[in-house]
Amino acid sequence: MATVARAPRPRWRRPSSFVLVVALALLIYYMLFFTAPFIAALVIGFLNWDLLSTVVPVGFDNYVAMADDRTFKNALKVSAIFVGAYVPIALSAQLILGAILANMRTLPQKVYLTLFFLPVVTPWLIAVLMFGYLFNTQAGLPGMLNDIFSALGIDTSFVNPLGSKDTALLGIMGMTGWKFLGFGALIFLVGINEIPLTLYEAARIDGAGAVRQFRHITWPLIRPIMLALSITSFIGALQIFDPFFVMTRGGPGDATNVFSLYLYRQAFDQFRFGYASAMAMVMFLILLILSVSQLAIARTRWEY
Amino acid sequence: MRDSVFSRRKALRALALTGGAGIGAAVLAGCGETQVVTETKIQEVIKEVPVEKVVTKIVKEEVAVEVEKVVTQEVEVEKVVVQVEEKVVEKVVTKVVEAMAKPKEAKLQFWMQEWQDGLNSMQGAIDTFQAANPNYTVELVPIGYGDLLSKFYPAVSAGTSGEIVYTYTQWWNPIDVTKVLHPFTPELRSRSEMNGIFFPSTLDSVWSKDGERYVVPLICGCEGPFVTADVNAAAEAGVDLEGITDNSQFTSWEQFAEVDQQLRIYDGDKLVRAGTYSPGSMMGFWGPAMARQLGGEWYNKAEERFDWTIPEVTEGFQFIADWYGESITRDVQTDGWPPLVKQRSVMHNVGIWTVSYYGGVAPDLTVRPFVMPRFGAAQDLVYMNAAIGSLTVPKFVTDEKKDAAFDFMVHIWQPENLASFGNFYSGSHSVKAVYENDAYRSSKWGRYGSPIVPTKIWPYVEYVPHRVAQIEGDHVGKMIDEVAFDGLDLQEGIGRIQKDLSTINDEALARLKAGG
Repeated sequence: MATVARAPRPRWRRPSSFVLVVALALLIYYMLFFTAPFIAALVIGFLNWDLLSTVVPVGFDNYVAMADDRTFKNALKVSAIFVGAYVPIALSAQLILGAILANMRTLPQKVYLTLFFLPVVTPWLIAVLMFGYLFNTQAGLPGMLNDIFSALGIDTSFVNPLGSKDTALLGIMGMTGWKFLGFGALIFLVGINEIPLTLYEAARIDGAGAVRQFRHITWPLIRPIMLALSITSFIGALQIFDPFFVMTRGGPGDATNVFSLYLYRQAFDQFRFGYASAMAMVMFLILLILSVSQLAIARTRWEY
Repeated sequence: MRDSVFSRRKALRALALTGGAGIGAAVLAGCGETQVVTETKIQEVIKEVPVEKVVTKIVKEEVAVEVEKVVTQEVEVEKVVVQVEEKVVEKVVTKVVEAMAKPKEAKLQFWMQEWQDGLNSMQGAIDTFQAANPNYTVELVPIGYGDLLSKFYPAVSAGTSGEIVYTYTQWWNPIDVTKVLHPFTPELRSRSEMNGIFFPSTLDSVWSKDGERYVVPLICGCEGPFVTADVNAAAEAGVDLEGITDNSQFTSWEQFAEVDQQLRIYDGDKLVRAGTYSPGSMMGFWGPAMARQLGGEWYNKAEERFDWTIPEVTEGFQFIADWYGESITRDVQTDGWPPLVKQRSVMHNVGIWTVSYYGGVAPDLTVRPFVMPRFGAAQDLVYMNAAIGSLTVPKFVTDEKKDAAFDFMVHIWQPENLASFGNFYSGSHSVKAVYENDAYRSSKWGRYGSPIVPTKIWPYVEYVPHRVAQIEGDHVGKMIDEVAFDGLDLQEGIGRIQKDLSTINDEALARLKAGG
């Protein structure tokens, strides 16, 4: 009886000089731009310091102060609402768009993908200026809609996306969703395109319609992509800063005063670098917990 | 296989070594300044030195003095000879032989906020300074306005900022400036001399524990004491603003409030056009100003703590919040920039700088500045004003660079160097002589502030020596905004700012007590 020769197990080989040099360069880069600032922020979080005056060690006072800081708790709440509402809706929209694009022919698929990807490459400042005009209650979209609806006898002049505490956060969510829709759709499109067509053919032969095909074929096989995008979306949404800083400055009131904006203002408006660093550590912990939780879910083996 | 003369492995090794050597060389080159040894030459200079000598001379002068003496219906005038002592200052030129070292050279960086017109004006001053001082070189470095603070702080901390930096005075509230900046008094000028050059309230904008002056205040948008108005739009609404005000100052709060109401336009219940556009942050100037006008000291200077719980604060804040809530809506606020262009208001409550701002964005509008009166039932007139753009010299600047920087300060505050600002900027100046400069008084935008700023604004401005930056926008104004629009209870709001501001104030005091 013939036996199958097993390939010998590769022995560990000393990496080449080139690899060592590149690895060393990356390590230095990581230490300089990630590890060192992180350690610095960790240490500063235990200080009362404004970068210029005498350093006053305060132990855990900065962390204790957060528990008593109404604005900090509000910032956490606003960020949680933003992340909790934005991420699921955005991911769903990205998945739907990706699925639609996957079913298009090559040329229209490329055209639509390009159009949807344009906001992704648009700088935040441009996007913010555009939406500032778009949300204008007189010359922008609410104004135009009000002109239309008021002709039908319906007054929608109260609609002021950025001027109302109830809608300002929604307005920024909409803008952020618009900006990243194409990116997520592209990722999902790539993932869907990797699914073997034979599975869909077999499902069609068995009489499965589009919805059942999505539910039993597409969805299970793109779950890893969904989880990866989910992790990055949560991290990105919690750290988002530009639109809040430029469009609303945290207002009206504290309605859009998110965590990242409050942290920035404590550091650069109030010179409380110790307190801001402590807040940065808290943000890091939150992101770490979120990421680890989602990775733990990702390790789950799914039966197909 | 024969080894190639220059294999890929050898090539990569060579590249890595060369790159490493190059990086190492660059790092070494970048570390520290190149040491240049200069030889000090002593040269004799014969210099004519004017010396003032006071000479007293007695001069007899005949002076006609009218003394009425009624003599039978005739009036007689007596002439009296009066001795007048006249002091004559004689200039005597003395030749002095001085041994002088070759003038030391210094190269300075001047960090200025990115503001093209301002940069051009400063560059003009730099050019004349360098012409008069050929041993000095000043490089103007524009820094984005939003980045100026975030770049300046770490750079000053590291000793890498410019030698002269354009800063805003409220940045120094939490800091012990004696540790960070060079004092200009008494070395450059005495305090009394500075009070003669600058409006004294501008010098008070930065407090220091030793009482000396650490910033050279220059220009200020003057948010707090002013509203600016489209006088034509007001006239169309039947209000002659220039006619009814007293040299561009509202005669009373009642007059201002009435005008504000007259200028509003409603569509049913909805405010379409406000009389006065006021962002929430402005209430952070007006609320504390009102409390001060009522005599309330909301910052106890002796104990160095806030006391927002005094009755004047409640009365003042309630007054302001009531007016604010009635005068504008969030809809107009968020939608209304620039309000006079968008016809969302007729008056704009953001400082005299907006006169030139509108001149740039809407030249067809006729925008004029108007000075605020006392609030309500207040007896005193006190303005809380915005931070002042000022020049500073960080403490790490020493020797010839410090001398050069100080010489530059003196040069900058000469009125002829600041007068050019009037061609593009209507904000106020801290240097008194600017308002006496003919070029400024007749300039495109300077002519609006000249009749009013020296007499109606700076004498009434008060800067309170607390330890919190941005109290107007970040804290007080935001609280009054929530009271006016969101139904926040005023006492609860006052309690919040008392707690929040005291926390920040006390943190700063802890640093100061630890050594600053």
